[in-house]
Amino acid sequence: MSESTEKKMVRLRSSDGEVFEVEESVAKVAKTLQDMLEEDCADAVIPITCVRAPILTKVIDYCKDQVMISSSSSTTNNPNERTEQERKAWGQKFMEGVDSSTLCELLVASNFLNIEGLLNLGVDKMVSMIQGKYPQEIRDMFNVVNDFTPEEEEEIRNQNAWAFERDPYYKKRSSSK
Amino acid sequence: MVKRLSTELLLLLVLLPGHLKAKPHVDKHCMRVSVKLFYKHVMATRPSVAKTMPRLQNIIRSPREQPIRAFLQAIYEHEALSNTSFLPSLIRVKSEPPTVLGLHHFSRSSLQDYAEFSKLGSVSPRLLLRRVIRSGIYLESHSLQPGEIILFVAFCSCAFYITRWEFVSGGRRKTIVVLRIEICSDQQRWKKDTGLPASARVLLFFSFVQRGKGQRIRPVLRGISLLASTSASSSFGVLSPPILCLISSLSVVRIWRKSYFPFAAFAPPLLLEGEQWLEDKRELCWISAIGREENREKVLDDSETEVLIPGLPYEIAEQCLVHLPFPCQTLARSVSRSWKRAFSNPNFIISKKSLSLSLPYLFVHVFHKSTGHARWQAFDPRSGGWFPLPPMPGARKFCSPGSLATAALQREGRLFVLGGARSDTQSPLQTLSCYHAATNAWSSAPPMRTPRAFFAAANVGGRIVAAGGDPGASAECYDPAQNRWCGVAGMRSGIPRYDAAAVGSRLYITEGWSWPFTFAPRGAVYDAESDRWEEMPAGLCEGWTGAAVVLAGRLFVIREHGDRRLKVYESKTDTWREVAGEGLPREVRRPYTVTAAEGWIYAAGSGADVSVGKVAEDGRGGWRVEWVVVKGPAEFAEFAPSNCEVLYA
Repeated sequence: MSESTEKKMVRLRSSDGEVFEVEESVAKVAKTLQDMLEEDCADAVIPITCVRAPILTKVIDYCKDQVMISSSSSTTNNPNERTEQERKAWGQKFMEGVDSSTLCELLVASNFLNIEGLLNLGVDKMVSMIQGKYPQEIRDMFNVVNDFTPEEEEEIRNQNAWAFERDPYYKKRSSSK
Repeated sequence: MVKRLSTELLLLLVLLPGHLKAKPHVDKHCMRVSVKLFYKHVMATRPSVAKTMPRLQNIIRSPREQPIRAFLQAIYEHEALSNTSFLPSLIRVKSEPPTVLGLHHFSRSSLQDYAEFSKLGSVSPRLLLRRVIRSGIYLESHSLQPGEIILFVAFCSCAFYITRWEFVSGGRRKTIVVLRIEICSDQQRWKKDTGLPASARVLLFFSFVQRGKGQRIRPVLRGISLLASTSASSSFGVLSPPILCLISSLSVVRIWRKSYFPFAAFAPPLLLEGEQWLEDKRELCWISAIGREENREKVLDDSETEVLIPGLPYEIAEQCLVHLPFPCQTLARSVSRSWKRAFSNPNFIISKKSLSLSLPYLFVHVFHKSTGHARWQAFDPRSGGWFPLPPMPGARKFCSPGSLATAALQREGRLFVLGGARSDTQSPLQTLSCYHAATNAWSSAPPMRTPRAFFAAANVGGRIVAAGGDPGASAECYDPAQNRWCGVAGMRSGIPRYDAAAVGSRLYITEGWSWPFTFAPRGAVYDAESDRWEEMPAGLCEGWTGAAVVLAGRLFVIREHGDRRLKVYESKTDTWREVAGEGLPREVRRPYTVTAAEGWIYAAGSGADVSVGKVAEDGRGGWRVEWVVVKGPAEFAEFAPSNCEVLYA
């Protein structure tokens, strides 16, 4: 990043101590950092106390991309400009291969740094992960403890038998009876 | 420059002279009474401090607020020194506070503030803002009775969050929303701005008052209380007793009577009864509650303790669940208890609404043509998919199709199934069953006073009116908020139902044309506002030749015969006007049932073939409809619909 010499740089420190140097415009995608920078609260290294380095890398990637889009969209007929569809596809690609624990950390980070776009991407990803899954799969994915009593669970299943029709876990249980 | 909110608070605390000017008699009087009461309380309960107190006369006779403040400070210092864990002191201010108190400050907070936030569980200003806005929406949507209140507490200098209490008073559910807002988490600044120790907190008590029906719900600042803690680390994670508030209006006292004081868990030691207060309306009522450690558990907010997804703050996890489409919720609800609770939480539904994520689904009551077996199916107009509802409780499955009536509160996602005739004995039923999309469950409700079958029912201004279907041609009305039936004026003469529709506060019922078409059909109109029945205008009655739906406050009829085209009723001229576009598509075979919501007509026919029509004004005062047909799945070939409703879920 040699062209950024005349640009103001901001240094961010992740929770595990790694320091990232980014352009101010990139950092400003995060509203939290923007507020800080505007109030001149951030003279030295800004500690991002709740975000680990790998997550912060991902967040910075996102911010960089946002800067690229916004700087290019000001000029007309730009090849970088994206349609709604392309943006969706880009978001999907960005979130591809993100597992549930990374996703959680990413959500926490984007919430803390107040990056609306990334938060929405994360929420969409989360929804697509939950959607169409059976309860046991969801529990396994997010380490949620099943605290229903067997009776309660049975009742829920009976009430909505249709939804569980193809649940392998359900079939196993009902056939073992 | 950022105006420090804490400074504003301080100004309020010392009673802005402007507020006194506005209502000099009331406010000064109220203030004196409150100080007097408080003074007496201090004298009685804290003899050691009594010696150092300025004379009461000096305090209340003074035209200025300074002595009062000095008095409060004196007590405050005493309490802090004597190691009492909290000190409440208060003063009353009547003003119109900004609803988004503190947000302005938030958006410009410095790094320190954010660091504090991260310790407090990753509450970002953005989410906070959303929460505050959401609570505003909640308050708007909460149908308050005139004079009813919601208490709203803003803690200055601590993390925000919302607590809801529901309690029953006089057989009715009441809700109190307590919202706390962090106004200043920088201790040094707090100290400088307020002159109070860093551990001190200020509570603002707002009540939300709706003066009359349909009027805006307005926040009124009811009191300010200082809260001092000797332990600087006190985080106020739960509602910190003691709570002391001065409440200054009659309406408040009606709710805040001892018997249903929501902080009853804190055993209020000093509480004036409402009656006492009623004797002199200008007097203030002082309510206090001194809490004990062990009672804190009782008011813990769900969202504070609940974990939906480990590693993710409740707020964000909830936001993810809010985005789950309605048909997916059934499976997600059975993940764990906390997930189940989250979906049923009233806040959940409100945020879904506020984010415009509630989508219309068509709920159709279908019955098997040969076995008569009936059930409810829901249709997703976007995917074209169907999913069944849990079975209706009680004897519904033995009910003759078409004999029951349905009504819906579309936006609330509530469906009501009323009456009907038993298929074996043909005797009419009294039952009322409610389905709530938010919980995807049926609940029983009080039965109708009269058994009814083949009758009219509709949502008339938020209340369900059931009319006819019995020999006496009576009518009654169900209030979902109160969960209660009450009688209304009966029809002049019984009208066998052909069709019914509710437009605004009026319910229209017609018996429809019958062979040999020599006599015009009879019709009746019920006006809920005047609780009277009227004759139906002749033009409306004669032109009602098919199933009616209501859109944009207008009555549309799909002609039963011929090309099945739509027409719209013009109430001014008592005539009908053609709707441009095709008639109801032929794919929708009889028997079909129709309903409408927000610009769309939904028609479900035999075999669950559905046609959805977009109705729009054509700009020249006329209307236009365009239909789309979605074929029903093969397994529904033997099913025919009897009723349908649209719910937003």
